[in-house]
Amino acid sequence: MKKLILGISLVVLFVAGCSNDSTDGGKDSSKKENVDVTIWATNINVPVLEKAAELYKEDHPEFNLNVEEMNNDDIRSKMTAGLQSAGQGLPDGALLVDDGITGYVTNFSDTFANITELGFDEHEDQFPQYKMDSVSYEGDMYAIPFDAGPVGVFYRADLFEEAGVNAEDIKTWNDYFEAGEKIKEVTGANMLSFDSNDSTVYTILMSQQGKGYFEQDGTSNMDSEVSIETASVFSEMAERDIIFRAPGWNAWVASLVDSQTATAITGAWLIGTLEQQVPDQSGNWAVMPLPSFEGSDSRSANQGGSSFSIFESSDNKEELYDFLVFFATSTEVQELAMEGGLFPSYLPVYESDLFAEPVEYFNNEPVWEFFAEEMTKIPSVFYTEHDSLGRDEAVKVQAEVLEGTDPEQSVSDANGRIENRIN
Amino acid sequence: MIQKQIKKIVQYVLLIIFFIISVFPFYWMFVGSTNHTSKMFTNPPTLTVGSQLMENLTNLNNSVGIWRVLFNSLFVSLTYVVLALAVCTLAAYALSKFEFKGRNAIFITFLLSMMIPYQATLIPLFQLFSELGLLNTYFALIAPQLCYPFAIFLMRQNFLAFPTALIEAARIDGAGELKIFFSIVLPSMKPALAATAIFLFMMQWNNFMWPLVVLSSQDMYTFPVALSSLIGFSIIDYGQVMVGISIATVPIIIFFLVLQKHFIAGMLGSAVK
Repeated sequence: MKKLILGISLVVLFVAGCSNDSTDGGKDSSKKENVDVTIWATNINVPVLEKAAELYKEDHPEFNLNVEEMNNDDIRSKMTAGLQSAGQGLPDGALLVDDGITGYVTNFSDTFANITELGFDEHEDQFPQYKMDSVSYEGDMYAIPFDAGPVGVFYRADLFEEAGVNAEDIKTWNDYFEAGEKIKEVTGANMLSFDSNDSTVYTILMSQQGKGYFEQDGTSNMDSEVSIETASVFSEMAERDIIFRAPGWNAWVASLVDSQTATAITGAWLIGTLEQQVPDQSGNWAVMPLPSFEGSDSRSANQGGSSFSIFESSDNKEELYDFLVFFATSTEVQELAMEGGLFPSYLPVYESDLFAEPVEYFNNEPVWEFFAEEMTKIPSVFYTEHDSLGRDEAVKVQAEVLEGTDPEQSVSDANGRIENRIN
Repeated sequence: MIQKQIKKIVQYVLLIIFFIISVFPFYWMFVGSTNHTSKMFTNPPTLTVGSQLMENLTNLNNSVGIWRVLFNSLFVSLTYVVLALAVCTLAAYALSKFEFKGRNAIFITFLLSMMIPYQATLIPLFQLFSELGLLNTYFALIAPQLCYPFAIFLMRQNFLAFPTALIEAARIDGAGELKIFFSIVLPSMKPALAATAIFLFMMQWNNFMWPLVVLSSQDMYTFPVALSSLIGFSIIDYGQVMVGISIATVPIIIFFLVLQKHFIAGMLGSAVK
């Protein structure tokens, strides 16, 4: 009998506990006592997020942010596990690289909070169009824009000078090749070093011409005119023997340290990498825009950049949204981000004095201003769920054309493989 | 005579070359942990010990809390080795020394399960632990692989070599099954146990994918996960990474040296002559 009473009272307690829970969670969210939110982010973003949370706490004392530091590949692995398990184990939000976001949203649209529906349209004129396009799916945004990767050609001013090349005269890719030959002849350095395990440069040149690896309807751009032009840049440089293949990120950094290359084509984030990994070459580097392709005057592109996604499974969706909007549209926070080596995409922050400041490493040129001006010129590129296949094949195309394969042949083979893998 | 000497010299030269090849990565790791990250990329490479060790260590501790990570890794790996060894050894003993119906079928099933790629079980396993509310616990790191087919296989082969006559003799003398196992069979299995333990320890120590997926807070991270979180998109501080790897390497070396002694002792003091 005693046992029975004990059993019943336990059941009652348990049920009471449950119902208590559900009323708590369901009631108006504006007055929660404690809001604990977890975000996944990569290393240099962590201090910025934490400082922003401190600032935000002044007006929102109930808000607690917990940032889990992870590298980008690890975030992807964990996302995959969480998404496949219908959102289990996912945090409240995550900082995701732009080129992966629409792919996730296409397959798991129920898992991601629709940012436009949460009211982001009022901020639309504060961010560059290309940045918002890159995190949009079927007209709605699924991430709050944060940092960006406006592309420039970083070049060694000392080597250019030694060879008598004037960077301002380099306007088209042809000018770039010819300057490269001169530089190689005089200094022995190659014109371009690129990471041959990665599709970075290929992706940049495609996006300079306004194309991603796929159209929005899913057709592959791999054998398009734009892709042939891109592959031809590689084969042209191989023919003139002015390109250096660095197998992997570390080898690529080593080739910069080693003066094996006169230029590097990347996003603005290279500023941080150079200052940290190559401090000895301070004063030798400068930046110019991309050379243009024939018949087009676009000299801008984007590479990398990331945005904040919010997950539907979060109990604190609105609170996290409010915080992230504060984060993305606070000049103070975005200045912090910039000082930490991240390039903000929030347009009003470019008015800040920080951007006009001379950068010692770049011979006291205001390189940040250069990249800020690039931001509004960058053509929109759409990312799709199959982009990783495109990047994969681009790596093969790079390798093939450097070995002497005809660019047209190489991209059409690659296109065949892509279609095979999709269907 | 001279021929003998030449032979010796050649032997030593070869040994020295291979010694350098195998020790150099460790030296490079140590050099890296005492220099600023920019020194990793110089040409010619930096080969001298720098003075940045403490600075790198402090940075590393600020980014991942390295002593907590060390504790997590040690606790998880050692607990795992003890428990997995118990499970696998007993299973192997039953599968090799007891006659029962379906014994071979069970063993073959174990072997077949080795062929399932780990990636295929990752998501279901994750869902299981998620439903059980066991994500981000030590239990989730230790439990899934406690029954490890390869360890069972390894121990079973060793038990097979143990003469069944000895076990039967002990039975006739009136020893219980547990007594037989612990006092007669196990003592002669030390080398095999040591080898299996080293194998299991290494596996758990280096385990990356599962801890990465199942852990969600930094104070639970093990070495591979913590070190991986140091890799940034555009900036990698190799000073920190190298200090972290150095710290992660020391316990493996100690564990190996300790067990190596048993390994040899077991070989000499075998009950079966």
